[in-house]
Amino acid sequence: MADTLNTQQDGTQNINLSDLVGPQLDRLQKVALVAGVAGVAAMALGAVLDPADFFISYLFAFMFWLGVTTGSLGWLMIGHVTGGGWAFILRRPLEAATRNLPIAFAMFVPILFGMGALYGGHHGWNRPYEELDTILRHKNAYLNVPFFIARAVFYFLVWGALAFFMNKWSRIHDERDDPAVAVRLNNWSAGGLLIFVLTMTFAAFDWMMSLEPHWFSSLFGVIIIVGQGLSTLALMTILIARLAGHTPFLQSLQEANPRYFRDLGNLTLAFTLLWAYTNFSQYMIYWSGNIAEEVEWFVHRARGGWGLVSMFLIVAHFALPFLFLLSSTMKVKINNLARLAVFILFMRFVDLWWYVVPTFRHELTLHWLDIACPIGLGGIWLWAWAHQLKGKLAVPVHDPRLRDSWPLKLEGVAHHG
Amino acid sequence: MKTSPRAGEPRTPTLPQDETFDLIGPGHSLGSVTDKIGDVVLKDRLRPGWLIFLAFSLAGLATLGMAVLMVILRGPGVWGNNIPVAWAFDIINFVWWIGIGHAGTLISAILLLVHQNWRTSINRFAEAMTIFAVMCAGIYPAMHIGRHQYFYWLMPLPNTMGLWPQFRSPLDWDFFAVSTYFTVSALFWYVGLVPDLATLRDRATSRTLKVLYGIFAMGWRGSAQHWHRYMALYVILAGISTPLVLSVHSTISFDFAVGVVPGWHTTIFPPYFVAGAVFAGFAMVILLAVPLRAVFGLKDLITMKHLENSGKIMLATGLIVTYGYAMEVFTAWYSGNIYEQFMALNRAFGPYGWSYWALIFCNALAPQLLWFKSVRTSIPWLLIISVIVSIGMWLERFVIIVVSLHRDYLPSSWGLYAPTVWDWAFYAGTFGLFLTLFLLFVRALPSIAMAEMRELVHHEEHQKHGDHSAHSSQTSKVEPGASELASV
Repeated sequence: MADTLNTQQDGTQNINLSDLVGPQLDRLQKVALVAGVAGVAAMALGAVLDPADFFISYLFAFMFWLGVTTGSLGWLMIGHVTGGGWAFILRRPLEAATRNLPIAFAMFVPILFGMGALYGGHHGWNRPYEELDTILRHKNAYLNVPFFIARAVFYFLVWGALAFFMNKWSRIHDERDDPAVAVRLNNWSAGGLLIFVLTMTFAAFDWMMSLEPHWFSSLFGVIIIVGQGLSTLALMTILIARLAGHTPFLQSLQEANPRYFRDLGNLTLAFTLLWAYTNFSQYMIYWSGNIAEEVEWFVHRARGGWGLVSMFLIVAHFALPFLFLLSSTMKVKINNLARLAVFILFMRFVDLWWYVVPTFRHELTLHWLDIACPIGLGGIWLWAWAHQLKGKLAVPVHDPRLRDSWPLKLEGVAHHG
Repeated sequence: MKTSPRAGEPRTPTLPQDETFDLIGPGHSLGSVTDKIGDVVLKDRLRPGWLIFLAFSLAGLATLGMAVLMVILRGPGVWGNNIPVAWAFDIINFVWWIGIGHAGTLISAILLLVHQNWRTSINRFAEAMTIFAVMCAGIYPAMHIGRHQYFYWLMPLPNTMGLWPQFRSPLDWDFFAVSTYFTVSALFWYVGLVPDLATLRDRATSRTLKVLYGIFAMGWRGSAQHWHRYMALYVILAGISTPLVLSVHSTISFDFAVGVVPGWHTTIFPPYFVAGAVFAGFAMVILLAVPLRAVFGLKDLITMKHLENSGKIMLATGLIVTYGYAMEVFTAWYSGNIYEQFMALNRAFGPYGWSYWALIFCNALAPQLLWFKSVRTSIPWLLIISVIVSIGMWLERFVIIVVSLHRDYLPSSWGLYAPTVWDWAFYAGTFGLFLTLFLLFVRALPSIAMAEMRELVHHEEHQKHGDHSAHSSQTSKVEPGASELASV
C-alpha cells in the first residue's frame, strides 16, 4: 500500500500545468493580448480625446482588476489557514494572480495623473486649501496628495511583500517536504489576512470613498473586500472551467470528490449573500437616519436614471445568482458554475461602475470607455496571469492537508490534456 | 501511528494523560459512547459538584423572582434608567444574552452545513445554551415595556381601535426576529433530540421514565425511513437557522444604528454585532464545556480539540470586533462631524472612560494570547480569557448604549447614569435562571448528541481501516482537522 501511495505522489508531482493545459493557456494568452492591445489603444485614444471621462472609466476598471489581484491574495491566505478542497483547486491560479501585483501597481500609476479629474473638481478634496470648506479642511490632514501617494505605495509594498512570501514559501514547499514551511504558510496567512483587510480597507477609503469626500461609511472597506472576494471566485471559476474543464484530470477529480467543487459554489453563494447583506445594511442605516450628508451618496445613485441600475443590482447581483446557487446541480459541475460565474462577473463590473460613475455623471450614461477600459486592463492582466501559470505544478503535493484527502488515483491521467 | 518528530515540526504542547487532540478519545465503540453519555442521565448519582452549582443557581433564580416582582409592582422606575439614559441595563443585558445564543446556532447550523464534524459533541449543549440565553434575554424587554399585560400588542393583531405596531421601528422587528429565533432554535434542538430520546426510552429502567421519554420520542424506531426523513428535516432546519445567525443580531444592531445618536449611527454595526455575538457565545461555550466535561468525566468526548477550535473562533471573531472599534474611531474622525468626534473622545476620556479602556483590553488585547497554541490548549488560560471576553462584550454594550446616550447633542441635556440594586439583582437573577435550566438539562437530557457521536465513531473507525497505509507511511503526521476533510 505504501508503494502505491508513493507512485501516486510521483504521478501527482509530474502534473505540470504546461502539460495539462499548455495549449489552452497559449490560446488564452493570444486572445488576451489582442484584447489588451486593442483596449489599451482605445484607452490611449480616449485619454487624449476625453481625459475627464477616461479617468472615471479607468478607475472603475482598475478597481476591478486590482480587486481580483488582491482578492486572490486574500483567498490564498484563507486557503492556507482553513484548508478545504476548494483551496487545492484554486491554489495555483490564485498564486499566479498574486504575482500580477506589479502589473496592478503599474495600472495604478495612471491614476496619479488623474488626481485632478478624479479627486479635484467642484466637490473634491484635491484643491487648494483655501478653496476647501471647513470639513474638507479638517480632512486635509488625511486627504492630501503627498500622503495619498505615500499610502498607495505603502499598500502596494505590503501586498507585494505578502504575495512574495506566499509564493516563495509555496515554491520551497513544492521542492522539499518541509513541515516547517507549511506551518509558516499557515501562521503568516493568519497574520497576513489581518494586515490585508486593514490595508485594503484604507485603500478602498482612499481610492473610492474619497471620490465623494464629504461622505463616509464605516462599512465601506468591508463592502469592497467582499466584492473582491466574489469577483475573484467568479473569475477563477470561469478560468479553471474554460482552461481545464474538459481535461480528464479535472473530470476525474470532479467525479472522485464532488465536494471540492461544491465548495466553490457554496463560497460563491456565501459571498453573494455577504454582498447583499453589507450593501443592505449600509443602505438601511443611512436611509433610516436620513441625514443630508449621509444620503447624498445614495441620492446620486437614485436619481437621473441611476435608480434603475440600483434596482437591477438587487435583482441581478443578488436575487438571480442566489436562486441559482441554491441548487446543488448548479454547484457540483464546475462547467455549470462557470456559466453562472460569467453573469456574476458581469454584475461585479456593473456594481463597481455604480460605485464610481454616478459621482461624476448625474445622468445615467454609458461611455464607450466604460467598456474599453475593463477590456484593455483585463487583456493585460489575463495575458500576464496565463504567463505566470506556465510551468507550474498543478498540485501542491506536500500540503499536509492534501496528502490526507486527495481523492484521485493519478496514474495515466497526467499524460492527457 | 506515531512518528519521530522532525526538525521544524510544530511543537504540540504536552497534554495531561486524559486529554486528547482527537475528536474523540481512544477505544470508543458505538456502545461505549452511548453508555457514557446516556448514563449521565439515567444512572449517575447526585454529584456534589452539580449540587453546589444548583444551589447557587437556585439562589440566583430566587433573586430574579424578587427583581421581576419589584418591576411589576413598582414599575421600571426601580431601575436606574432615566432620560437621557433611557436604555441601560435592560437593553445591555438583552443584547448580551441574545449574543451568547449565537454561538449555539453557529455550531449547530453553520458548522453542520460546512461539514465541520468537530461540532458533533458540543452542538447539543450549545443549542441548549442558545435557548436558555434567549429566554433570559426575552425577560428584559418584557419587563421594560411597563405595561406587561399588553406585551402582545407588539404582535400585529387586528383590533377595533385600528392600532398597529410601528412596522418601521426596529423594536418591532426585534420582536419578530427574537421570537422566530427562539422557535427555530427550539425546534432544531428538539428534532436533534428525538433519536436520543428514543435511546433513553429504551434504556430507562423505571416505568415512569420510559413513558416520559417515550412520549417525547414520538414513536421513533430508528427505521431507515425514519432516519431518511430525520436527516432531510435536520438539514432543512439548519438551512433555516443559518440566516438567523446573521439576521437576529443585525436586527438588534439596527435598534441602535437606525437612530441618529452619535455612537449608534454607523454602518459597520450589523456585521460587527454579529461577530461580537459569536465572540461572546464561544466564550460561554468554553465556560460551560469545561465544568461539564470535568464533572461528568466527558474529557474524551469533549476533547482538547473542541476547546482549541473554540479558542480559534474566539480569536477570529475578536479580531473582527477589534476591526469594528478601529473603524468606529477612524470614521468618527474622518466624518468631520463634531458630534461624532466628540462621541469618540467622550468614550475614551469622558466620565465613563474606564469602561472604554477596559473594553479595549478585554476584547482587543486579551484575546491576542490565543495566537499561541499553548494558550489555546491550556484550560486555565481558556477559562480566564473566556471570562475576560464575557466581561468585555458586556462592556461593549455598556459603552455603546449608556456612554452614547449620556452625552449626545445638547450639553444641557447631558446626564449621568448609575444602575440601582434592582438592575444588578435582575442581571444576577438571569444568571440564576440560565444556570438552573442548564443544570437541569444536563441531568434530564443527553448533553452530547448520542446518535451523532455514534456516527462519528463509525466514521473514525472507517477511516482508520481505509487509510491504514497512509498512517503507517512517513506521512502520518497530519494537521489536526485534516482527517475530517476526507471523511465527509
